Amino acid sequence: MANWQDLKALSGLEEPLKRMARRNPSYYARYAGEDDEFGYKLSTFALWEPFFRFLLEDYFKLQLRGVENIPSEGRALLVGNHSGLLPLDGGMLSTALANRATNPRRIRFLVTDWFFTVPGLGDWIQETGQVRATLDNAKKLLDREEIVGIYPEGIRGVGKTFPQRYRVLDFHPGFVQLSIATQTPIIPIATVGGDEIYPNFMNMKAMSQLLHMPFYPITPTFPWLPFPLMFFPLPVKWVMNVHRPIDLGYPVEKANDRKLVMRIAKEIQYEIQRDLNKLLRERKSLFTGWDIDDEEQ
Amino acid sequence: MTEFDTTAEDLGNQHDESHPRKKGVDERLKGVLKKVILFVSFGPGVLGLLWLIGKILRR
Repeated sequence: MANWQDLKALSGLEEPLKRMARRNPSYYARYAGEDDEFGYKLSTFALWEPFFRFLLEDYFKLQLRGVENIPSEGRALLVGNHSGLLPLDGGMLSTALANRATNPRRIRFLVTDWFFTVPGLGDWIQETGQVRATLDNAKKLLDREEIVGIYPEGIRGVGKTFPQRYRVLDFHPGFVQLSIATQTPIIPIATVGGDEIYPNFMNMKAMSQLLHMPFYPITPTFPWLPFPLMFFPLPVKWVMNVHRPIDLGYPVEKANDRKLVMRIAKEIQYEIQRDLNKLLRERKSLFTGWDIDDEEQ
Repeated sequence: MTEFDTTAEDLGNQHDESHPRKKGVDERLKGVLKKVILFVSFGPGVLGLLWLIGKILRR
């Protein structure tokens, strides 16, 4: 539960970097004073981290299973199902890895161009560690032995309507190509909870075209309630299941074998879908989540 | 000497001029509509706007 220190952090009474150095010394030591080419600023991450930690620990009460499958050193490609109208899943995973791993690391999520067109959002996205989604950027990050996060469903994944929840859409196979070309292991992640925090009744196509938005959802709160109440999520319990790393083992030349790349992308998509189905079967209810016995497994 | 049908040309010119003007008005209206929808959607929300209108009308 949130304590006095967390409240102090959220209210801005304590200097963010000092707080991070005290709370999470290994994360701080790893990234402090670093000059990042893609604009990551530890001070911005430290400023927002208490808010995301509050959502993670106290609001969504996220269970992170298999965190030991994420390597403490070296490159990796995290691949998962996308969810929630606001892509909170990426924020939750980054915060969870920064706080719950024995050797905390940051994740560099590849973000679609549209988010950079929203005034003020582009800088914030970069300063908290995300990077514009291009093949070149991804290769550069992997060359520096970073963890790169990809949601191969793309922005379609976050715009799913409520009846489509947890149905993984076709994966864009670019991540497999990237994995073979850079000899990077893929770590699939299944997330349950995110698709229900903003029940999306329908997407209004005409409105999204007019506003040049990827989608214009109608939820119980959007566009009805005033800002910021319209973005208030339901307190659904989350679980993220991190699978074992998959080392594809193909030579670099195979990155251009379209048939192979498509087949592997489909296999990983089905693996995540199977895990989602299993997690949903095990779930007791939307707001109480899984039994404590299941949590301990 | 070549005779030119000026009426037809003028009519043609008029048509060419009015079309972009109409297009410009449409674009401007679309821009205003876009701004209103953006403001309502990400500002007071539909219910907030109705509440505001109600409050103004009751005065």
